[in-house]
Amino acid sequence: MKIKITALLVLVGLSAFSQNFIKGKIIGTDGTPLIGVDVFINNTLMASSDFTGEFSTDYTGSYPVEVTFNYIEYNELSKTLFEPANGRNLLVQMTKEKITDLTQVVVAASRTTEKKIETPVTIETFSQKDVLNGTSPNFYDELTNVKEVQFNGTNLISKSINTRGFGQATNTRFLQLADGAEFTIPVFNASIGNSLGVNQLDVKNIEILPGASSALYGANAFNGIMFINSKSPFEDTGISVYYNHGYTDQNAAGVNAFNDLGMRWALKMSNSTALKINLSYFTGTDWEANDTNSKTSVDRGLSPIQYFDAVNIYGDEIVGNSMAAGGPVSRTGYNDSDLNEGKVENFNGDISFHIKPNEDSEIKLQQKISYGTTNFSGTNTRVTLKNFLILQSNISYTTKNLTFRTYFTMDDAGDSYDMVRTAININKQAKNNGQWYTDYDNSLSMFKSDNPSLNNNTLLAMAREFADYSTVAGYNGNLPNSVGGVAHFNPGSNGFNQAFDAVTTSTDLTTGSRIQDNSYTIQSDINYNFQDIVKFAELQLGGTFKRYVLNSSGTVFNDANEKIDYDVYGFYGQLQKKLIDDRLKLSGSVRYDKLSELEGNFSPRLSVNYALGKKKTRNIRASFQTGFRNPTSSDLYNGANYGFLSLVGSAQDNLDNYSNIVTFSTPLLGPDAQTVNLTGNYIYENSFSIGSVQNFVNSFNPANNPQDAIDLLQVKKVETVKAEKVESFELGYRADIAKFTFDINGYYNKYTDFIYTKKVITPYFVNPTIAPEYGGIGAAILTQNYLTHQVYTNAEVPIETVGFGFGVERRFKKFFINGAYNHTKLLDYNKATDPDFVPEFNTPEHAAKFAIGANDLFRNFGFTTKVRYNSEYEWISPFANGTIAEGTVLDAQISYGIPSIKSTIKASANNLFGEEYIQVIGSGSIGQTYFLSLIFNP
Amino acid sequence: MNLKRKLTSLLIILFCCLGHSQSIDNSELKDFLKKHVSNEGFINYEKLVRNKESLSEIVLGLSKLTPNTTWSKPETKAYWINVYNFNMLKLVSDYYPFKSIKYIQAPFNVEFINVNGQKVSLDDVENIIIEEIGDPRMYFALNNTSISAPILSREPYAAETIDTQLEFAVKNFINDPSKNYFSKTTNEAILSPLFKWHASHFENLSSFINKYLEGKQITNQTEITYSSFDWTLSKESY
Repeated sequence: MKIKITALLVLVGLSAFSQNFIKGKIIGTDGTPLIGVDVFINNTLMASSDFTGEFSTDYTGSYPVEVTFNYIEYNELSKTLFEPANGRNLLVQMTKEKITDLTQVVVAASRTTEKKIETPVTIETFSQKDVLNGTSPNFYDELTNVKEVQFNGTNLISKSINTRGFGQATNTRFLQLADGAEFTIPVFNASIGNSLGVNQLDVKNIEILPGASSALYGANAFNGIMFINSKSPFEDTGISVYYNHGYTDQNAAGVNAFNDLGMRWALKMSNSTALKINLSYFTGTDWEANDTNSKTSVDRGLSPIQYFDAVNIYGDEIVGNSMAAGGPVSRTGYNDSDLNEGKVENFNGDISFHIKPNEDSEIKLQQKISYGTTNFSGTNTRVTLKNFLILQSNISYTTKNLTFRTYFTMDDAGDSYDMVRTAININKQAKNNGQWYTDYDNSLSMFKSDNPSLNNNTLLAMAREFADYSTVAGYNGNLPNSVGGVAHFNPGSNGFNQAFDAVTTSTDLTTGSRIQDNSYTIQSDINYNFQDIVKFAELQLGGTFKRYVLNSSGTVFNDANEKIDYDVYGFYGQLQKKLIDDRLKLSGSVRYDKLSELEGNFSPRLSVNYALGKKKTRNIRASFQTGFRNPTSSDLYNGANYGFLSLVGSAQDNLDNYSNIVTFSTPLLGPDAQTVNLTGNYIYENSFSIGSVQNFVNSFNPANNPQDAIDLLQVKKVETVKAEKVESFELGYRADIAKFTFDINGYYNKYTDFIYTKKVITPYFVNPTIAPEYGGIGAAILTQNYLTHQVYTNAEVPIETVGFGFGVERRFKKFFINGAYNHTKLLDYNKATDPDFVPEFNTPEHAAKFAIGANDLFRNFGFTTKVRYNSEYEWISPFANGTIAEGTVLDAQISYGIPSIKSTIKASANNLFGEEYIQVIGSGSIGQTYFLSLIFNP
Repeated sequence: MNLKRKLTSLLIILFCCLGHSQSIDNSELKDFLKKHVSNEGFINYEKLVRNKESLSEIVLGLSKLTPNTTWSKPETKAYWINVYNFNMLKLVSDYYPFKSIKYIQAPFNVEFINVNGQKVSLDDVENIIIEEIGDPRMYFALNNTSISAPILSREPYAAETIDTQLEFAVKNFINDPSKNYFSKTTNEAILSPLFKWHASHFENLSSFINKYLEGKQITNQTEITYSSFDWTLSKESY
């Protein structure tokens, strides 16, 4: 009997136990099971659905109970269970959220999936639809129309992107990632356009974070970061093709055709393996760079005919002091267009193999290639990249919580050459600088005394002609004997071509201009999201390691004797917590990064996001972060010598290794030839500031208190470069109001130790015993016995920027409109502290963008019109300075879809009705572009 | 009044009140549903509460109709479905907002429905439909605002169209994955608890379902389970 009762009790116990669960199946609108839906009971995460959509969890609490289902991109769903029976076998159908601009999912802002409206910092997004509605020949160019984005185009295909100030032609302060991997080109330490990026047919979406993101993404994400994400070959399969045929129209280069052909092929071989191939080939004619304005910021108080360093004329950088002319005279240079063929050719391809060991993990093996020829404005010079090859091999492993990636990126500069050095050395092949200046001086003296009636400019022009050609056409008077060399090689002549070939194939800096580079980087990243282990908040930890190996045989870096390598590594952690019915989101992160020789840096970020409104359609965000940026390879290890200018990177080992032995002679030091070794440390410690040299030259008069002028000379030790820092405060507001989407943001940035380059004058000798009337310690300058060096250091004065942006968009049934305004301003700073420092802000104070369009206005016809405006601003770079004019650019396209063959035809025009405009001083002005585009199966 | 007596008295109305022929005008019902129910069958509760008055008038109008033996079977079917659905709306309009009809005290047992002077409950009306009329398709026309319930038709039920309407309602219900789940990959189905509750009224459940089911048919081998009834208020999500 007793046994029976026990058995009964067990049964009762079992049945009571069996009541303590809630289980069910979660499906989408079409009935397919949803995998990984989070199931919350009384706001505690209790379970996630498995790959059949089923979930089950114990529940012993009271009834009624609320069960909430949460799945990204789906409407959150709550159910009330009144008794255990209600939760026995739930059939839960979740509906997809209506995706608006603000509810779309982004990853970049917090390294985790969240809705755009939930992000704690400003984020701009660009979808595949935006690519298709675009007016530009490719998606990358189309980014110019994204709010906050500033484009700095150096040619038809190489554009650099920037946000929030301090744009550069080669933007080392803005990081670009394709599927999480940097597509930074090792030799430039920056991305060049979309090379190694993502094929336009393969672009799934793009996320741009304007402003510092170093706390999450490391040192180079200083001005901002862009993520381009590609389509999965498991989801988007098949063949897609595009072909663009069009014309570029520019005053200087004329009307030229361009062609751009690309394809994407994705093959899902099984549920666990897939293959993807992307190819694209572009060929066209570049915008010709023919800016003949002076690029020099140093006024030597002399007539331009003698000394004039034009932006796009090279060789004229070489300056000699002419006794006869009474001041510096520049050699006759070559036009940019004389030194390149003006062609742009670019091939990009990638192949990837994807394996899914199980439902939520993926292994990817990828090889990318980019190969091309184009002219390119570097920060310091103009370069023709010829047969330039970049390769990237990438392996990645991702699961729901883990991301691991390691990749190798290398470049081979091919037959690339430096145009400035080419011109200088072609000139030298005709006459070396000594011969040319002697001929110039001798002839000018003779012409002056023989022709007292001729005006000075005519005489100077005659002397230049004689120095160039050893004769003066049409002049019947006496000519001196040339001291040597041959006549200036006129562009197009056989002599020119031979000299050009000789110079551009030689890697000797003093006679050639070829850039030989085989630099590479290896990088590994890891990130782990502890969401399944740590429950009270979302914790992520990660790290990154990058090795730079510089190998330019001395043509770019100071690595003629041996390769240079250095490492950068960093670790970070992030904690996010949602509170108050998920309305309040707090995030904190901190990152530590270190570059081999330099001190490490911590960069924290704190942010708050608060949702307002019944449906959380309005949102306020605030963030504070510090960011920093390490000096680039160029800042650290540059060693390029141009003859008139030598670049010396600032790493301590570079200063120790750098050496330039110069032989010179001057009567002031006796008849013998002198030798000086300009070491890196000597240059950084003993050079005159360029401003003081200018003051000295302008006021020196041997007959009138020369010592006063000499006293103006200042030697200022240049501190070696260290990381620059930014502290950034940002406030933002996003809202969906009456079918309009608004985003407003304002920020304040304070930069300390801003990295900049300056030029200093290093005298070959400083001898205090030389009499003041001969120049005293400045005697070397007066006798042209000095070399200008470009050095890398940090600004001594902090600088501040403020900005705000406003964007609004609205989608109607057929039409869409959007507009944005951005204000970016560099605040006044103390110019007296560090007079050499000129911030390269390079950003318009006012920028506005507007677009209107329709995808399907009537019977498959669509159109888009886009307008951009920028106010005037100054462009400052080591290569050239100048003013960028106020401008308005109008782009338009009309499209016609042919659904039966899954194709769209588009006719597009860029810069319609507009004048040519420039984005980077030193690059060609941008004219009109017209093209027809055919896209199959986008 | 116990159920038996109530049913009896209602049946008396149904069968004994021979009377004048009444013309049933559905136009008000039609307007009301159009304004308050979306294409997908979602009820706009906020609007419903705002327009309580006109709903009361409709319900009053229905209560004045006297079902009787002169009515055809289609007329009778349409009438009781409309009585159920509009009185359900009436109940909701009095209590909304809530997350589930179950938050109302005994919602199906309160005798608030006036049928020609007699007070009855939603349960009573459902019983008439289930027990007396004997058309199982009608179960799929009754909406009780819960997620698991059949959706509310945007058209009032009318004698002339009732067969088409009921066919549509059943087909819609069976093929709605939020009510019934038929796996595409395995031979399993999760059916609505309605089929379990009314099991005795279906001669052959499989063939009834297969008649309406689009796609793969169910068989004897199909592993059938029944879902729990989800009483959560059915509401359009944004």
